[in-house]
Amino acid sequence: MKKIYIHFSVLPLYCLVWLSSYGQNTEPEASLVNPQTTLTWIGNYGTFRLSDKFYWHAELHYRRRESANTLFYGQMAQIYNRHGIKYVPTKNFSATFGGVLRFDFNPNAEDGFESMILEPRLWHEYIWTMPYEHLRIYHRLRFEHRWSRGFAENSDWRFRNRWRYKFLMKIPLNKPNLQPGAFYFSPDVELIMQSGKTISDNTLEDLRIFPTFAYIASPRVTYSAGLMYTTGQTEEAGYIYRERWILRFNVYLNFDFRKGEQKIPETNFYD
Amino acid sequence: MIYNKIKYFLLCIFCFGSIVTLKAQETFKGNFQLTDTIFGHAEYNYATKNNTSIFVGAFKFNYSKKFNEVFRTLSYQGNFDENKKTGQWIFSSKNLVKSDSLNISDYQISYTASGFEYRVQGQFKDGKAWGDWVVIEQNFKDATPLDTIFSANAVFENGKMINELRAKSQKMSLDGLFDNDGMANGTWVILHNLDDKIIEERRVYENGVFKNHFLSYKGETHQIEHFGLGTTKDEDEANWEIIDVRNQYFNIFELSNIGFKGNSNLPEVNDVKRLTHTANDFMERSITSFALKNNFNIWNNITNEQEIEFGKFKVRKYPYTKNEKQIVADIISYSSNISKTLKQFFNNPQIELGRLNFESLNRCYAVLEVYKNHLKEIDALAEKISNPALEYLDRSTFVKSIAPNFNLGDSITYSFKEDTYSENHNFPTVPLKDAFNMESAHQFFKSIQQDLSSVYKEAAVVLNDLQKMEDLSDLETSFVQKRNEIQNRFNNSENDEYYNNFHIDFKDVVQAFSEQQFKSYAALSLDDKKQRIDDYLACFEDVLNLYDFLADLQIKINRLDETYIRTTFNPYLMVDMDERIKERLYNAYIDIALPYLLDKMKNEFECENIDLNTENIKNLINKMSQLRDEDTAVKERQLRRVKDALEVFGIIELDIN
Repeated sequence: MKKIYIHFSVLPLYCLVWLSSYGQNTEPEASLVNPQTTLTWIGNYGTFRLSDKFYWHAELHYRRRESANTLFYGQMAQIYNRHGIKYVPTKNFSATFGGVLRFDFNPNAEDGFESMILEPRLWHEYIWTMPYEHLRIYHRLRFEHRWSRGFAENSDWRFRNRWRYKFLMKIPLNKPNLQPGAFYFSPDVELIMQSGKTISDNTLEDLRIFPTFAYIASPRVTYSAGLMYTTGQTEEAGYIYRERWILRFNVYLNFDFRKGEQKIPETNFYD
Repeated sequence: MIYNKIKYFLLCIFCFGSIVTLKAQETFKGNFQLTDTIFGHAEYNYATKNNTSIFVGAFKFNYSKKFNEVFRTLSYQGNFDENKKTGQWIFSSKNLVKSDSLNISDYQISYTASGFEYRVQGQFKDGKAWGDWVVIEQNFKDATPLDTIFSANAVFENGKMINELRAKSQKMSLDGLFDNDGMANGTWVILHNLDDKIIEERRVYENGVFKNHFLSYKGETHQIEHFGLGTTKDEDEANWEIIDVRNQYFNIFELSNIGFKGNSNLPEVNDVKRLTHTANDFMERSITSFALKNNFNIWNNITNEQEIEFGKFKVRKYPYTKNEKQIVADIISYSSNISKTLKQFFNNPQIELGRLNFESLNRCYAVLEVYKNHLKEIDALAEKISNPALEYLDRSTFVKSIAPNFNLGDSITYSFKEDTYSENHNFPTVPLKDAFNMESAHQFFKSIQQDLSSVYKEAAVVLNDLQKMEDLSDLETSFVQKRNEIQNRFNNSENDEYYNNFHIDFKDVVQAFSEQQFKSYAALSLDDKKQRIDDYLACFEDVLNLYDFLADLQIKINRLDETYIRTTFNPYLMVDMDERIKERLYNAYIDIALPYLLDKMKNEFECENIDLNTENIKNLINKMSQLRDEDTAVKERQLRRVKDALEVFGIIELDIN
């Protein structure tokens, strides 16, 4: 069983190599990298239990980006709502389906441009967990079907698919297990590929490297913070890359919305 | 003339009635139950009279059964006339074993038998023994009579034994007479064959009343004296009783027999009482042999009628006065107590051990030994006085004859630790023969019992001490073992898997306590030790129980800890997470209440508190278990910032001892 997991863990690298070669019809003489940008994402991840195996995934992000004068936090960037129904049949697998509604802001919109646009998505994801004695490894496949348009007025909607694979670990630092009171470190790498009619030579949308430190305050509340580096091909051309540094602050909330008596596990009566 | 007519009329009525009521005879052949245990085969005629079957005509009964190698047979042969025996009857009882000799005749092979036969043959008339009767007991060898073991001849009339009774065995013969009322009468001659010396014993009776008793050998005659036995029938006629031979006549006769009169002596007779006793047995057997064989009633089994009366004797009764009845009852009780006390004392295994260490026990031993040496005589005297036959003897003359002829003395001598001691002891005075009567006998037995009781009490104090010391020794062994066990267990000398931090925490307190208790016990006097050893043992048992309690306590705390933890699934991390519930309540218990009670137990470590403090902890844990499933929101609010254990107990409503 362990061997199978190991194979799964190296599978995304093969995909990465294959997808990177696919769609690059022309060989650029040299790639270009746009100037690095900085951003701040503040996220609230809610997972609310509705029944024995179904949960409500509720995600809300408040994102800002640098301005001319202020790094990371200079101006409004996005408000991002992701919701879904999560099905957890076992403690090592979950599947979620839902929708996203993203608000993109353009604070300095000029004439002919809109100051805010919407981007709806449909999404579904599948997470496998590999439990070890002291740590856990997660594999996440997320698929998004997105409709987006530019800030230019009357610009056209275009449809794209996103293919995302994330590998992450959660390693407790001060406790033997992931338990309340534990600080943990989470190495996190995600590859985001995209496809669609408008996608020609920029299939590698983003590669995110996100080392995180987190604290489990209780079974219901976890905090995390980290600085994420991302890079990927831009829409301008496949050989032009972007680089971003993103400060991320997240709160993870887990509440049980079931009725009281269902929440309390069986008690071992004392004799 | 008229009377004759009436007679004929009545005779006709009677005959007619008989014809009407007595139906024709029938013959029965088949199984017949003689007694509860004897089932045989019978052949007899019977008729029905007034709806009842009655025997008529010939009767035969045979029974045989094999017991191991012995065939026992029983047979009756005779006649009935309307259910009453009549004519000649023969009873035979045989015990036979198969001989080796074989008889072959035609197609039959048979064995002869050896053994003996008891045979009674006599006449009946109207259901009563009547005429000449013979009893013969013979040995047989290969179906041939060998010799006669016993024989008896008697004459009966209307069931009563009259005229001459003759009986003979190999060692003795008897020739006696009965009058027409069946009373012993005249001179009875009993010849004893003692090693070919013929001793003649004569007993003279007059209408059942004993008169004289003699023994003669070669013309020399000596009188045997019977004290207290009434011989003059004319006196006090109302108190004379007719007693048959089976009903203690010979018991009375023997009790009154004191041997030869005066200084008479017959050198050929060593023991005159023994000799006359065998004669009594022979007389009894001779008289009863016609109807009894080893207590089997020969003639009353087929029809339940008294068909034979045994020869009878007359004895004067001297009824007990109220005082005499009390005296007899008291002497029976005293005698029993005397025997019991002596038995208790001399059977006590601690006596010998105690005599080595206690002088007083040696003194008591010496006194009681005097009584023990005379116990046989004391018992014999009591047996005579308590004999029911005594009521048939004139106590004013008889009791003197049984006066004790031993002397208890007035001093004792004993040894202790190589020294010999002599001292006086006030033994009861043995009454003189002339002064011996029921009252003095009573006083004598009473004095013996009182003296014995007093001496035994004195010895009992020593014996009790010995017993206590022995008991104490066992208990002290147990006490030391428990002390050692406490030390070992709390030191974990045996690497007990349940040894835990609580044991370590209590180790010093417990060990100091057990040592202090041990020393405290050692300092007690012997009496206090005897009284308090059980308390000390119980206390150490409590401490050992505490060890077990502490061994369980960690398990209980762990289980309660688990009870106060809820496991919930974190769907973000995909991990089950444990979470303390009712945290404030749990913390009050684990941080304040439990340490307080453990400290209390340590600080108040006394025998009487161990159980109470253990109970407190048990109650706390049970209370916490109970609160786990109750709504404790109010209590948890009240517990905010509470640091005092007593306040905690108040909030969670727990009474502490």
